[in-house]
Amino acid sequence: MKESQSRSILAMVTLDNKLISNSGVPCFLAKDKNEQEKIASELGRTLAGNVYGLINGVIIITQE
Amino acid sequence: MDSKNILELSTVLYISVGILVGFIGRWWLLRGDIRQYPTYPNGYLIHLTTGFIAASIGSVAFPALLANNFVAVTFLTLAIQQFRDIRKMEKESLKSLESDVSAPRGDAYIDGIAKSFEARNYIVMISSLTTTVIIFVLERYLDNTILLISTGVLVGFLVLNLLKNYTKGHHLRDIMTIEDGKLHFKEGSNLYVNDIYVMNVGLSATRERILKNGLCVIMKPNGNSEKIILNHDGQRKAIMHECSRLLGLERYIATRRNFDTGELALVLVPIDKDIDRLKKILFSVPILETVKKEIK
Repeated sequence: MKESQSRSILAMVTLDNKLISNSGVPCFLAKDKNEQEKIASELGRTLAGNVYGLINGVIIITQE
Repeated sequence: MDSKNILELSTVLYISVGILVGFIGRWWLLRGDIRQYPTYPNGYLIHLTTGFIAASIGSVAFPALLANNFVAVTFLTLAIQQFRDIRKMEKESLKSLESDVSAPRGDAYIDGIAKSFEARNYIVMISSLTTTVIIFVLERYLDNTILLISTGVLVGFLVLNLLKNYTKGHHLRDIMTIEDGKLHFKEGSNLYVNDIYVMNVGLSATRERILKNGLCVIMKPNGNSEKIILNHDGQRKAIMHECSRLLGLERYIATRRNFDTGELALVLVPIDKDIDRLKKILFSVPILETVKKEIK
């Protein structure tokens, strides 16, 4: 467990690209909920980050 | 060799009684508890040896003074320096292990452990010192050697017991009760224990794993000063460390406080899923010394 004061977003996975505007981080567009979770899980593993779900259905991967 | 320079047999006997009292005292203070460091033969040996040395220094000090040897007092200061080094060493070795464990001990806990190791050496030294002082002082009034030695030993153990009780720490069972909680997700990915928000989990596979294998409890402090103890970051780290060390950690451990009531929610996904054991562990987590100071 690394401790840092703030974390930055490493990537986002969304079903609806209108939900994300002017993002400075890589965004991935998924076809359905299933694919979104799979992509998020893979990204979480490869980037060694934490996966969080937002209320609007967007999944973000942050630094650990 | 001048016969004056050779110690009398009785003096040697008295000193060894002092050493013995201190050494047995260190043995008695040695905790074989699995929650405590050390658990292993090497740790035992290190602490028994330093305890023996502390006992020797303590018991030699007074006879040396009687023999007009004032250097003996500087010896004591040297010993104190040594024991402070032991504390530092203990601290460094525990800190170097921090990155290897899934839930770190935290600085406050490490400081407490190192301090208690240092303090135990002083307890041994003081009890050895009192034993020999008593024996050498009473020697003028008492002729019976057995009575003399047994009085010394008795007083030595009495001091040991007093200091042991004085330095004894408290456990979380003294300040809180534990209630069962219910794990559930709200708004999709927010994990709650009853009504305390704990964390956000993005993946549904992980959510299922937490619901299936996770354990959770709610710790209720008894009063306001107890709330302060449970709110302390170091104390919470100590709690998480003990839980994850004894139950194993599959993934995830987190504590969250309810700001309104001061209750602390704990969620973990352990390898050994045993809620009764978890409660037992939580009750016997020591209250850190640094936290106790704050509430006084």
